[in-house]
Amino acid sequence: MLDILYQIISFIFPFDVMQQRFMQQALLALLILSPMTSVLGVHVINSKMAFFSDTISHSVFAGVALGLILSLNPEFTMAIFCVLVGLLIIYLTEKTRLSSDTAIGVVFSVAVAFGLAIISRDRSAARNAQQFIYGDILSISDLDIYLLMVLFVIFFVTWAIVFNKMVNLSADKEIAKAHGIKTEIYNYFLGFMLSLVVVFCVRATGVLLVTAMLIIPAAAARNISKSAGATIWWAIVIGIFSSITGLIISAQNWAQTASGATVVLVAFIIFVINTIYAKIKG
Amino acid sequence: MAVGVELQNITVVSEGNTLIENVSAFVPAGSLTFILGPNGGGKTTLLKCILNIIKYSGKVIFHGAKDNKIKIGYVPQKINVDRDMPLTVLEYLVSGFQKLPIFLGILPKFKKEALDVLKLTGAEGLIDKRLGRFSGGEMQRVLVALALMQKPDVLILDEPSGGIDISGETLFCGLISSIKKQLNITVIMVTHDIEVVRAHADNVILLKKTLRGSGTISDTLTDAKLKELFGIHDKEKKNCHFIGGEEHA
Repeated sequence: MLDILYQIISFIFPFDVMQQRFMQQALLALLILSPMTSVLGVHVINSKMAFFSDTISHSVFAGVALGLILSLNPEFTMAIFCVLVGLLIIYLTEKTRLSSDTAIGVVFSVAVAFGLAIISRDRSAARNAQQFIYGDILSISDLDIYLLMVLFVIFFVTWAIVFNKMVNLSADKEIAKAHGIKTEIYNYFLGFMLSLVVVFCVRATGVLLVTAMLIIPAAAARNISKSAGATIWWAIVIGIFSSITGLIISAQNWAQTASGATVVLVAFIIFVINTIYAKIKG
Repeated sequence: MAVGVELQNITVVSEGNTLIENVSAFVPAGSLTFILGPNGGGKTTLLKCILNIIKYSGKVIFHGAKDNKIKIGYVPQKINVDRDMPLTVLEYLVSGFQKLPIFLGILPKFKKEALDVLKLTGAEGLIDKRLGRFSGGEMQRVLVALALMQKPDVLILDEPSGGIDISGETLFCGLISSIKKQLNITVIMVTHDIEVVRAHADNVILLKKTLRGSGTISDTLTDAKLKELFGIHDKEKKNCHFIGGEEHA
């Protein structure tokens, strides 16, 4: 099935660089990943959770280190650990008197300290963890793409079901609660999905740029949208456009840049243009 | 049929502090009942007990409701919406009800319902405007419309006139009174303005940590009760419209 998709990609993008399999794999992965990060980014901004996604991405080190200690697949332990960290933050915010800033700050520090403590003892762990700092979408495998496809289907089916309620509670949580919306469930859903998507995103853009991948398309979409519906469509369009453009630019001889970083930079240029446009339009 | 609300021995303790103690009162079905009291007197806490969004001891009984379950419309003092969030009034009103994701469109049935409640609050012109760009008065009308979208048995308003001036508040209370009559619902409202209470209330609950009185205006808004509640006589309030709020002269 993937071969057909790769052929379609090489037909639509008849550039030399896009005739290579690893580039086709990278583009397909980004085309699956970027709609998820873009729409999640809209909720992240609405719920002021940018620091939350940073915490998840930085928890990757501890997740990988745990895998090495327990002799388990580091990518498996990384995913489980990151999701647990995400759910722990939501739990602390919902069930204790800690503000979300404080809860995120505490968990962030512990997760990073734990990861660094283990990595500092083991050089092989350090090498394993290093690949997640910068990410490498070009090394993505067919298996990763199948996993991303499964995540894509689960994500969009469940997200479409909860989207309206999440919009409602992001306007005002107290009113939503008083009108019978189970706000806790939606917060856990957002935390869970965000953690899963961030784990995959780390592979593409690296720990340092995950938040940018989430936030920038959504922020650019906000600039030019008047409604919640339009924001979602614009975020998806900007996310996909910057992924395609960024990947192709990064592979040019004159560029030779990291693909994840180039995708983020293209999204940023769109954000700047949007901001100027919104300012002029008033 | 309108729903009556009976409060039985309601007590709320938070972190060792008693916020309200042993409050028992009755809100008649179809009435416009005001809760009056000084700042920190427990008015909002009592509303949250009726909304069932905080822990309390005692009972809230809804007379005329099946299995003691009712629909509540809630209007807070102010909304904490992010002013830059792109969200139209129509989307906000519909988002709590429509199953189809609103980015795929809004169904005519829900658009009509939203328009109907906005017409009731005189805010139909705001339907396609962005939330967060409104004046205090406009926002309150939108929030009342949102509360009415719930098709409530009881409408609860927590100092809804906080962001508007005195004449605006009088008009707003007139609007609420008219909606209550049209829809035959029970309304519970917190306010600081005693003149508004006199003009519109069917029933009053006086609260200062404990219940200081409840019933009709003539029974409850006596000089003695008001002195007990606020420490000043009603006569002294001729030029002091607001009681207990920051505007307290």
